[in-house]
Amino acid sequence: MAEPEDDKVLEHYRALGRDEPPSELDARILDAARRAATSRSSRRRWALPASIAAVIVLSVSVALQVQRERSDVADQLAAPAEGGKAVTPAAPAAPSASDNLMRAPALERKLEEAPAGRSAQPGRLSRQPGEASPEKWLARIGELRREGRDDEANRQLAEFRRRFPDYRIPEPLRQEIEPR
Amino acid sequence: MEASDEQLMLAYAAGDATAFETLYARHKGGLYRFVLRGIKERGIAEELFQEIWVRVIEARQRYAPQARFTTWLYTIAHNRMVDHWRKRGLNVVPLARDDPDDPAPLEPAAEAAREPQRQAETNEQLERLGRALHALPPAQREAFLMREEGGLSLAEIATATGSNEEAVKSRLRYAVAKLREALDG
Repeated sequence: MAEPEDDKVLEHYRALGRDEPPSELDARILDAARRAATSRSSRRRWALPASIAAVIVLSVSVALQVQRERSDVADQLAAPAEGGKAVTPAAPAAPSASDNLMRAPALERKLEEAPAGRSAQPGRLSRQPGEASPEKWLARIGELRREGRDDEANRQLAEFRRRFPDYRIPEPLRQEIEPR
Repeated sequence: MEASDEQLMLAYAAGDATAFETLYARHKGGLYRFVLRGIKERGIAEELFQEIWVRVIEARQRYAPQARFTTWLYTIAHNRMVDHWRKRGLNVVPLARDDPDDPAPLEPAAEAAREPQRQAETNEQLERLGRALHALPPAQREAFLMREEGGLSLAEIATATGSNEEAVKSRLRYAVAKLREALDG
């Protein structure tokens, strides 16, 4: 406090003691923090290799399937082909393995970009894939409110607050979306 | 050079658990006293204290260093305490009560603090101060504790409590006046 008449109050307040949290409480909180950091970094560590493995498995299985289908078609067309008709293999029904493998790096890039995008916008709330941004979500709730769909607006607002408990809704918007 | 709170929080968000340990060590005492002296009941205060830090941990990805880390921390603490009062069926309106013309009356405990004590003068004064602190209206006590324990500026207290600087200034003035009154007995 800058006001001189506060000195006596502050001096006595500080003399009340410097209570500190008990060590078990410290340990619980620090343990929770460590676990959270570890689970995140372990997810990061495995995310890329796991995605590459998944792409490879998917590509190989698609390639095998396409190969099987092609040989079935070739078998079925073998007899008429002998009758002098040129047989053109059907257009591939599914991407080839090489197509898939060509696409894999693009998919990997997306996976790598996701966290980088988040860190580039530290103020943004993290979102599940496909979920609207908080701003869009609030705008949608406002629309519901204007349309008179209050039940749905209330439900969405409650869900929003559950998902983003620390999000501070700007005042004009808050008045618009809160139950009247 | 020592890392700032904001740098530590960003490092923790990136997975550095030791950054959190440093941050926690810096702020645990002030935040603990803020909650303990705001709530009174130690068991509940400790639960809330833990919940606040869990919120910090959970929200690490959303942390944006646009304001001081301390402001963000005490905003979370303020919100948790408001939730606590709501759950206990206490109206949160008194939290915002800061009308200088209508200060809340002192509770009986504070009135009692004015009575002569038989203990030594220093202990007596401290006891009175403690009681007067508990008897303050929540918004005044919160502003005083945020200032003292969190080191928050008027503007930062206003941000953390969703108020404005003038209101915070007024709360602080009344809080200090009542504490002074209790000390002077």
